[in-house]
Amino acid sequence: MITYSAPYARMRALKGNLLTRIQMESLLQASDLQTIIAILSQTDYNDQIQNLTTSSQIEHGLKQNLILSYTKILNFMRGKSSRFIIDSLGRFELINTKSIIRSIIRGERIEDRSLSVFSLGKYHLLPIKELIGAKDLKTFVELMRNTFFANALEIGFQRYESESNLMSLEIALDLSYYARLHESFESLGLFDKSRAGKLMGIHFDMINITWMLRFKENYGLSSEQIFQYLLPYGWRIQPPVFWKILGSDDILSALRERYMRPYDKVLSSVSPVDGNLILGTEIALLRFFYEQSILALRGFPLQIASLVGFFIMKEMEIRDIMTILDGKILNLSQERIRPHLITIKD
Amino acid sequence: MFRPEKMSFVNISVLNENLTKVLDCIAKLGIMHIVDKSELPSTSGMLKDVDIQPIKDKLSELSNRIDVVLNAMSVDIKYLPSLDKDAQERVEINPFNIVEKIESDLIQIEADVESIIKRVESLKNEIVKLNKDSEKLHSLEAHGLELDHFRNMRFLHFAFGDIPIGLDHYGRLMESLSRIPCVVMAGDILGHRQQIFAFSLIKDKDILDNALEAAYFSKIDIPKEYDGSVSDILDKIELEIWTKREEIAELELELKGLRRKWREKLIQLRTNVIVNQAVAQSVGRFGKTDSSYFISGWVPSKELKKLDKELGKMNMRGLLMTATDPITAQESEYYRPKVPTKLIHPFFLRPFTGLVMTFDVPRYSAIDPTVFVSLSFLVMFGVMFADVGHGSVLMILGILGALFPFQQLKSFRNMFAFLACCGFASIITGFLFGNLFGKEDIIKALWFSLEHMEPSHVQRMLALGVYIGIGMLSLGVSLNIAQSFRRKDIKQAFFGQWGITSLIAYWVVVYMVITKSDFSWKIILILVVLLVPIILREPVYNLIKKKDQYHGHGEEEHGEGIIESGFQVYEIVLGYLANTLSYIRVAAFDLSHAGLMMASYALTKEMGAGDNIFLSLPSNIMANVFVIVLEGLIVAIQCMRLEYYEFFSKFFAGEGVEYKPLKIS
Repeated sequence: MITYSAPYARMRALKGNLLTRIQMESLLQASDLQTIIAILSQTDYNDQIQNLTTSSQIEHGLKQNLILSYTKILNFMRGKSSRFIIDSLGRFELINTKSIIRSIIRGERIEDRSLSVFSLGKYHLLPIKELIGAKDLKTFVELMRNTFFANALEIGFQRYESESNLMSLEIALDLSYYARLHESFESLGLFDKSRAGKLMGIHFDMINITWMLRFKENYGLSSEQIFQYLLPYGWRIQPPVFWKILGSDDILSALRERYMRPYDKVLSSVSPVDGNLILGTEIALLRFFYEQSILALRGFPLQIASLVGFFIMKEMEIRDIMTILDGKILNLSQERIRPHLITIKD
Repeated sequence: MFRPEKMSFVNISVLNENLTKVLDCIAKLGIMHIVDKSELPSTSGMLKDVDIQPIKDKLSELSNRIDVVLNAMSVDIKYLPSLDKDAQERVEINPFNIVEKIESDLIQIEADVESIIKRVESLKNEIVKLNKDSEKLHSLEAHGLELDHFRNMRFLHFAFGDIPIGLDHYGRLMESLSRIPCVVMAGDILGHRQQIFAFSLIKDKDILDNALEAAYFSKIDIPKEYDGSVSDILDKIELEIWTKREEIAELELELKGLRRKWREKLIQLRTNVIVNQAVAQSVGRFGKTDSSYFISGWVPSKELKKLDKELGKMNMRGLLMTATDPITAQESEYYRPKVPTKLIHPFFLRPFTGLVMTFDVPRYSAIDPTVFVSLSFLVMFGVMFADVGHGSVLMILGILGALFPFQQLKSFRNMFAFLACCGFASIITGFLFGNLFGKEDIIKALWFSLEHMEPSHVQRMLALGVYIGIGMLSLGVSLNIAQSFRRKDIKQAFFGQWGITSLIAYWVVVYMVITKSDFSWKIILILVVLLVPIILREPVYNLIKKKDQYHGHGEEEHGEGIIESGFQVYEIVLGYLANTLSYIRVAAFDLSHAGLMMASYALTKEMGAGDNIFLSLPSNIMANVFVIVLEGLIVAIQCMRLEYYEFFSKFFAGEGVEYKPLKIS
């Protein structure tokens, strides 16, 4: 526990930099993109968004700021808890990997490719410079040979070669990443696991519910296929329940009717956002996740759950900033943007 | 010996037509570490790129083609002899024009051997394919399945293929199929994949196929030309493989004859290609204008005259060389391009260079720690592995390995020399503690013995470990202080985490503990006075310098700086305590060495083999070999750990650039 004193103190200092409700509201009331950038330049995000103009550039900058928060805290961490946070940060390696693969397939120039890659500094687990320079997918897979994605890439690449469809390859990478994160979480001490377990479990549950909805509605996959693509590490949504949910015609109703707490309550009042029910469900789940992370921060401080809670809060904040920014670019009114937000509700 | 060699930055400009001669001179001198023009701050945008990529690609293609021919002739390219001075002189350096010459020679050789190589290659591919077919069919045979049975099924759907191992794909597949009647059998595991046989009713075909697809199933096709029983097919394949192997053996005999004819020529071509590849790589870093090339790089300051003299001898029009004064440690911290590090060691320190370089390349401004590392490593290894007998074995093995004239052992020579030094250290300490092959009663201890593990001697040994720790930490911190002064970084030298104030505080505590004095308020006040400046060093330094280094940043960063320094003090206290205690392992391993040998001799005695030399000798030899190999390895790892984590963390400034001059090798 004592080892958390320094990272916790660092986290509290960084938490003080999160945007206040007033700042969020002023972003929402901003008239255009320039005003939003001007407001953001008064915040902790200033260094990362300077001279950026497009939405995707700004999103990259904001997320780079999140990565900086990770590294600032990691500098004070040691041992298994540090490995777990590094693996959580590894999600950006997953994003980098997917982004480079897509870029290679689209035949983009190497200089353009590096623009979308996140820099993790000394916490890169992959040979990122070499990967950016890979001339084709085969070379990319070869460069990844000694990394934790090697197996997933080998499996997925074989499928990609026969089908020319990236979905299987990306799912293999996702499964591999979350298996590693779960393994890293399992290596933590009992106290950490009991406190952070709920947050991690909700995280996996959310992924599973969203994937179930998307795979069924958008991709038309069969139950047998969806079952194999789900993460077996959830809090409430675990393998025996999958069949019951997957077997029903309407996944959301199945969750509600089976009194699957707390999701039945969370999803009881879900309504479509912009006519999209899946989006409405995602937002309801993220709001629940955000509330849980605030609760984790109110608990006993010297534990990993408070750090995880902070990272979730920061991530949600960035999501909201981007939602507002994109809404402003599309000239949407405050009333249209507000239902999409996580950190401030109607 | 204590600091890297002084370097000067050199710029050479040469007219286009004279480049080849200058390149030849630089490569043969082998003293210039070439710097890419993009690293030069002053010339960015003024110089053009040299388009060397096509030449590099061609040389790389030639290198591959030569290696293919050499490999086909069974010439082991890994152990080709290194070039002597005459051979180096004969190498032709001219990357721009040499490609055509080499290619014409190579085409002549390829014409002689290509048809044979291609036939061998094709036969080998056919054998690989036959082996794969055989592996697939073996799995079917093991499950008693016949090809004819499931080729014409009317009511059942059959799938044969493999799925990846890992992430429980098999378990997930089985669970996903729990709702339909089906049979899934696991076959052999080949590489990272597991073979699967799956049967379902025809009506459930889609469900089975979908589930298999999600498990990353890959269908295995059984060639249609195979029919009949599986065992007959396997026999046929076996026979075919043997016929092809015999043909390969005959062709390889033919290739051996051609090896005698072409070997020397091929090696000469390969040398030319490799040297010109390295040169072309460097040319790609040069800058260019329409009429001249610009070569920039680092040269050891004492070699400048030599380079100037050799270039002067050429007496060329338009050849100009400029050089800076030797770069100081302080300048090097900000100098761009980065100054490379060349460590200068006498021959007896070379085996230990690897210990430092494996960790990281020291910065140009850093102190070269090789002398301290080698001495401390030997002292710690000696104490941990103190045994005259075991040390002699290591020393003899090391000397034999280092002196054996086998080409294959050449790259391990430094490692063997290192082993011999470790053995020598063990012999010396073995005499100090009176230990011969784990026996404490044969030779008299020059210092004290651990015979019978007397508590007073054990305590003495543990204290020795702590003293070594105190010495090593003090040395590490002192090196950091010296290094900071060298870089003129006064703040770090006095108030850094491992600076003068923290070292004095450490010595005060050590003195109090050794003399068993009470920690009075005065002492605690002294410690506070020593440690508080570390927390306040940033504001204090700014006051001294009378400027705010945080300009442009807010008050909050001042606060953050103090908080971070506060945690640093916490880390300093923990660091000194934990690191000092960590060195107890030096003593602990010596005790475990003595204990392990005592136990093995006692075991031999208990087995009733004590008096019978024919029974006890093999048993004792085995015990000694076991201890030498296992404990020797563990002790070496522990010593490295103490060097890298406890010692290096106090002062080592890495992230340096290794000095790699362009040369023929």
